[in-house]
Amino acid sequence: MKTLEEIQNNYLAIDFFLSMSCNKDCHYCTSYTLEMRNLTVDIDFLKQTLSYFKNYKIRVNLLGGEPGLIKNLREVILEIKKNPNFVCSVLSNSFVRRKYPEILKDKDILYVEHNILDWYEDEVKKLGHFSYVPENDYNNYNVVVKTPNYFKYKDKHLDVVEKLNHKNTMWKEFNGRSPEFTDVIQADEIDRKMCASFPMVPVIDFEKQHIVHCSKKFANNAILSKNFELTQENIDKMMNFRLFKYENYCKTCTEYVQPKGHFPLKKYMSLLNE
Amino acid sequence: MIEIINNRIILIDDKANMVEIDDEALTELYKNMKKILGDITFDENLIKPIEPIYHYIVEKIYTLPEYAYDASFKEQPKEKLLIAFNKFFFDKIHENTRRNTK
Repeated sequence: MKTLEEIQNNYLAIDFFLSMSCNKDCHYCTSYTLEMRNLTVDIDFLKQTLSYFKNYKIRVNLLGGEPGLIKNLREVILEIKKNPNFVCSVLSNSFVRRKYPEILKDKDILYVEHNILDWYEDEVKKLGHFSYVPENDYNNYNVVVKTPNYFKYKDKHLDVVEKLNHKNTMWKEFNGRSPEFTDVIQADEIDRKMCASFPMVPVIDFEKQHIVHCSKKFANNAILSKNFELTQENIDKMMNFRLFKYENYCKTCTEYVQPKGHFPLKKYMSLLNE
Repeated sequence: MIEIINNRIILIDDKANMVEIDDEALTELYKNMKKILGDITFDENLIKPIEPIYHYIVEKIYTLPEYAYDASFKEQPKEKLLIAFNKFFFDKIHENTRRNTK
């Protein structure tokens, strides 16, 4: 089993947007539709895509949409697990716990649960009925977005904060994806440039079958990301920091970028030494 | 020509005049890049096109010196970082010179 730290330091993450469909409608989400469509992944397309990445150490993030809705998710995961260069990660609103509970018992799969919609004065609104992921050694994690409401109301929900306060919770900085959540503080230009070269998670869009530069400028956004044909040449360029450029939307971007450096130098060293 | 004398960056012009580059941030960058690259060659002729990420790494170390640490890069990335460092360094020197002669 690889630890989260090992994965974060040595692997580049790629989001596989398997389907846009979701059973929830989070107001800050960039990529979902309540329409149920494309719920069976084209395995030939998946195999071809994975073959382009075969020589690269990547963390394949399965999401969309809600991956628990995918009918052949087991088959998808089996394909990913065939290559030791790949780490499989699943991001779910907890629906996966209902449909594919075995995923949580597999230590080789990083299971990340986004189970909190938002924080309010009288409640912490959840996305599912499951309790939060407890502290564990199974590579299962909660991810909690620190929305403006989180800062406003967290002191009213100290019991929840206590339940989440352990090594298996990832606290994620808020970003300005929602029109209601305005965050006008831009990251420094150099940090946005580093992010542009290889974002936290570029996307493989399984519906349109192409590469998307920025996961934050996706379907439910006014400004859409640049996209590229999915070819071996483009994947090689992408993985060697030659495909993505500092685009106009990066110049005006107000997303959070880690001020200590988009990726730590240690990670760039590991990637550029490959 | 650039020389390092007692950890100070010295610009030597055509008439052998020695002028210290009095830019703390640039000196700090030099020290940090030395940690990463070992010996540093100052040579504007080394500059050639490379992936932007190498330029960004150098600029990040310039703006946030603690971003650097004793990283051990392999030969090829090391070479590219040296190119990026020279590009950044000479751009700053030319910028300073232009400002001082205005």
